[in-house]
Amino acid sequence: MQGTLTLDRPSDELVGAARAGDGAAFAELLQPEYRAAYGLAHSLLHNASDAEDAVQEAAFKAWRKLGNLRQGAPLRPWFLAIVANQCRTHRRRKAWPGQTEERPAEPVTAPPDITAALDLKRAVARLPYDQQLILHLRFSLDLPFEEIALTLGITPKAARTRVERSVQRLRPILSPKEQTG
Amino acid sequence: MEDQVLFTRFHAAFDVEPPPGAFANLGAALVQQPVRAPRRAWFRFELRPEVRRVVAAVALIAIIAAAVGAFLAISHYVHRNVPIHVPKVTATATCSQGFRMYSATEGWQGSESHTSDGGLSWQINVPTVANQSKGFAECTVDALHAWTAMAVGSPPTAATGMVVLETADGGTTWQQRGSVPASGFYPGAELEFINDQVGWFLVDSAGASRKLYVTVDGGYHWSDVGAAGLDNVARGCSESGMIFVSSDRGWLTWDCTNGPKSGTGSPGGAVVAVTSNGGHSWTPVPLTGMPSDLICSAHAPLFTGTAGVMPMVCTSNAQPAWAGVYRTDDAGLTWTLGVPPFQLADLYEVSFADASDGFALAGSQGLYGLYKTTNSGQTWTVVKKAVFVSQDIPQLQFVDTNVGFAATSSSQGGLWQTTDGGLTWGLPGHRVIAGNIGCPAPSTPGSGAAPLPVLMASATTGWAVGALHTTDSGLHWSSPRIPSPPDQSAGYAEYFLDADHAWVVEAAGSARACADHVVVFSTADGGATWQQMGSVAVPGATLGDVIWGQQPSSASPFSERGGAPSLSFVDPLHGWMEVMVCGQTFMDCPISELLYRTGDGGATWSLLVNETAGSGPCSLPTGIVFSSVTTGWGPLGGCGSSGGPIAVTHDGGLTWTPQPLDVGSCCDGGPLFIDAVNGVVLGSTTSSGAADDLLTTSDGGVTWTMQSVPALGIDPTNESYTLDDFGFSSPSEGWMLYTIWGPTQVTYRLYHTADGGKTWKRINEPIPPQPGSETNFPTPNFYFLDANLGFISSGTDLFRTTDGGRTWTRLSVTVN
Repeated sequence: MQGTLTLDRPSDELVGAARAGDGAAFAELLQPEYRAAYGLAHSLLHNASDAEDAVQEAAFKAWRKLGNLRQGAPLRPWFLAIVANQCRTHRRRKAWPGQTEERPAEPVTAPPDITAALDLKRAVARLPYDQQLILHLRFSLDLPFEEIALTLGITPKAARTRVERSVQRLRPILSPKEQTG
Repeated sequence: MEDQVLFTRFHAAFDVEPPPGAFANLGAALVQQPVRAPRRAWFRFELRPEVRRVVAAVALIAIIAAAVGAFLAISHYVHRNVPIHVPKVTATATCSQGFRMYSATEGWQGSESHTSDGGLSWQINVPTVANQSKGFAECTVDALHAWTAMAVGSPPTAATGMVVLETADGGTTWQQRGSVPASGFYPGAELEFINDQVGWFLVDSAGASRKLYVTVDGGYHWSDVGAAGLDNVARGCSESGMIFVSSDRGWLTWDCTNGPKSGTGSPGGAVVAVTSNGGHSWTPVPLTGMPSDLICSAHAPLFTGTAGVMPMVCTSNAQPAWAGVYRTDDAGLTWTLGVPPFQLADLYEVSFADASDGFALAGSQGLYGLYKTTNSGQTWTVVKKAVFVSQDIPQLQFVDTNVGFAATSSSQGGLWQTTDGGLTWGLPGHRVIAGNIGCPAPSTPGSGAAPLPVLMASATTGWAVGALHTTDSGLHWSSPRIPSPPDQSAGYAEYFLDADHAWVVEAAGSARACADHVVVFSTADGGATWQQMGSVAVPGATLGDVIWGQQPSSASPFSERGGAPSLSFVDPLHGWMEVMVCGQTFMDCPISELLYRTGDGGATWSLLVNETAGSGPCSLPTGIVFSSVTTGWGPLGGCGSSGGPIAVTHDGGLTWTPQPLDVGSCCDGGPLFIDAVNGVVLGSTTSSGAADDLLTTSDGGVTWTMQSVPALGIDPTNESYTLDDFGFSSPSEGWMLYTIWGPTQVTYRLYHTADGGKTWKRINEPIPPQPGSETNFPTPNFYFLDANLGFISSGTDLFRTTDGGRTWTRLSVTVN
């Protein structure tokens, strides 16, 4: 499982310090989750700058709301939920008419099959936002259904069902030879 | 069982590392901007050591804030905060953010984009301030007046204040007004004006108390209201709206996503607070029936007299899960929950024209119904069962009970309009198909600009983009008289074979699809007459899809050379057409790519290749050119990374084989074939993707030889360049046109080779056009018929040379 906390200080102590206003403690708390959060934001917003902004804004929201994180509750799904909401807000802002969806060229680390990757990106982008989100949580971040459920505030069974439905929507656009599922 | 391939493919497609330093930036911002800590320790008289540290920190912050405040007060002494007497007024307007129309024609998106034609066009004017930081608020009160507030600070991650700017002319000009102190990486802010003079400004700085300021002079001067209880109402929540209906009465709403609910300690819920004394004191508003375990967000209340409504939407992170409309008959003292008849979980958007009349979009993504209430949400009726089918992210706003606007994913940059209360919707300037889907406007290549010569068959006769034709060396150009097919849509291609023969392909649609077939026209008499040839149905185009005759991104600046890349003829009978089916957005392109061939001049076409995106071996290149009836070429882009950057066919397009080249990627503008055996291609061996390699062939593409490109001799630390155009008029004669981006100016350079690219010489005379300002200059394109006769088009002017580019004459061009 990804994202296991590896901290110099015990997480409870960090949470306490962060709640008391210690920014360094909160940064340390977020560090193990940053890559996943950035990856999720980038997948949903398709833009490095937007993704970085969204995660930053989400981080400050999370800090302000840290008091709501139950003791012992995992940080990652809670934080990813805030990131996902921030991305939704960002996309809505971007969707105003006349506001072009700029996707400036970014340095790309070429995957083994760049065309397949582009095709998948396009296919996923055709799905509604919530289906994109749950597919990224499952297949990009490798979250188990239990953690997806915590992130989305639904039951693990509902998480599994929604993943399967989203995959069904995705399959017609994928290669027939890969429709094994 | 789950498909493990999906994990692999998602990781291959979406895995991305954060930019270097991204987390460090976040960490620095967090350290710089402490979030306010809980205050329970303040009840102790004897302060513990850690509390003393907090006190010290707060004191330090206070000192810093005081210093900053003093600095701001001095630097903005004209706008110093003074006690302000707020006149007793009732709201003549309420502030709006986001998409807001104030009449059938005039409105705003945010405060930066303004329309005067019902959303058909938008004028964007983004005000700026020095040392701009993160943090923003905006407010529009009518079609002309708007305010925006921007955080300022140095470094930009640390705000020290917020500056207010005002426009009174629809955003054409902005004037800086007053400022207020603020701190934090991203201070929350909310602006509210009830007329062009009286307004409030809520600033929620990290590490400091919330402050509410008031102005009575349109934002020049701001005074701290001294709001009591504001911090305790919704601690830890983000404000989501502020509205005042008079100088006394106002409401604040907070979005408590995963946040505390005041007084209960339970998570979630929206918080609404009311003031009856201009913001001096605030008390929570009791709202019955609202779920406490969901994330709720209240819309700012809307009042007509003492009657008001306040929509509330709650989500469970993933989708709307509960929604309701609260109504009041006593100016907001008490609120009653009304329940819409539709599935609450499906409520997506609510807009009230006044306190009684409202509209709601309800449904799942892709299928929405429109509902209406005339009694503040107590009862609802269906206006239309299905609107905006298969579209995402609708936004809805009604100006009155008849006139409304909506923005959807198929708005094409405009706004949907209704004048009959939502029964029918139109999209000005665009064709609308079933499901209220807006189709892109037809392409109009070559219109409104100087002709861009594509093929000069002789010194006097030739073609330009848009199938313009000249017989007098480019002075006069004739527009083609090609009938537009019914339901013409976006998607266009053209090809010019010689002085007489040319083809134009236009995309067209039906009542169900924006584009699902293409219509081919041809001329054999230099454009004097055009005949409709074949009409080809395109398989796979579904509701809302469009057809592009060429790459929508226009990635190649050379696409016009030899005709659009999707159309290629080698003689009056034999030609090929490549059609790309795309969805409504860039990310939806392509859905499929199809290659057709004709042997009778375009009357009939046979489908050779149908490559659905992601389904095939990625063998069909994009932007094909044929050098003979059997042999054709095209760049594969990233597809051919394992086999070669270009693909070649030797069976007339049925099968394509990647061909290795000594370049990593290609091919800007090609391959270009000057004749059946001689061709050139530009590629790149550098990671920058710059076209730094020129290869030529003299055996029909069997072998390619690396040539040289001009040595620009620029200073890479201060200068950069782009290649604007290149072309060869014979195997030996070629040109390259560059834009050089210097530290203070932009210049154009034209280079010439007479030995097939082995050596290059700069044509030293200044070439027209010359760049204007650095931010507004044309990208020139040229065409050379031979070593002497050539044209350069600036987009606004056409120039001709008869001495190989040493001197140029501006042509007085006419087009009709």
